[in-house]
Amino acid sequence: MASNHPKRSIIINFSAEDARLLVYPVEREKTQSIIANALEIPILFDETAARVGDRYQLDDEFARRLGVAMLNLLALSYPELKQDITASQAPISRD
Amino acid sequence: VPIESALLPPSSRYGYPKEQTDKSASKSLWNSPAKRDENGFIIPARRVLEFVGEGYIRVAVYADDEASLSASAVGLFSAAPVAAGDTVDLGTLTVIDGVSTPLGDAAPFEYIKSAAGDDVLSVAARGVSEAIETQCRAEYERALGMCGAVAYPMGLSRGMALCRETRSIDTNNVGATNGFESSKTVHHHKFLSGRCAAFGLSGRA
Repeated sequence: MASNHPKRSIIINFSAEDARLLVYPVEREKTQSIIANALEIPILFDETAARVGDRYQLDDEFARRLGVAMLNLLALSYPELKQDITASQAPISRD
Repeated sequence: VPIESALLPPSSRYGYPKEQTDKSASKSLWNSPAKRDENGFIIPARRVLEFVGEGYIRVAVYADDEASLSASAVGLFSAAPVAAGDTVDLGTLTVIDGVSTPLGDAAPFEYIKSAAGDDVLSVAARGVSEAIETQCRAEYERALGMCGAVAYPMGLSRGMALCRETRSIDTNNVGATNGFESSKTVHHHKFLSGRCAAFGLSGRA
């Protein structure tokens, strides 16, 4: 039923004028020339995801951290955004 | 000895950062429309050389209108060390709006390097080199900030270190996107982009 999607990367833009994030799924193939010289920040599941048995769990806390990280990156370019980020900066322990 | 005449738009080869050096006064110059004759051909009148870093010279051809200098063509070519008396073959420049202009009929630019190394171009090159180092340092600081913005909330330490690692890239991959053929594998610093990648600003916390 569901058709196969090509591999995609995600570009997130912030539009300060109308206060919205714009999310662009872009075919991964088309991003190669752009990322070839871009800063690469690896996020290792091994380091930040929960783990149950031999599976990682991309749980609430993982999603929260990822969201904060993306907002932080945008806030470097749009400092006015910074004051609106009220989520905890520090990772919250799962214990 | 003609210099390698691969003339490319500024952003293509080696990931030369688009607009990074042209933010100030020169930006409007580079991007303003070309002056053309009645047949639509760009009128070349003045050629300006600008060193944009080691191994790069930017060539601009301006229409002959002193009141409103308009850049008609901008190209980058990889400059092998230029020896005294060498003639730089300008070849065909890639024009910003996508049209090419043959410069074969124009007199070739001759760069005579003085023995003392204090000729105008050498002095200019030294100044630009320092400016680029400053820019690369600034880029390093920004990259560090971006890594931190992700690493802290994610609780990463290994990721933060990986962020600064070097990798090898096959320039074929880069070349495939801009038509430049090369089979060299170069070590590239993924923490710093383009021309800053080889600047040695690495590993420091």
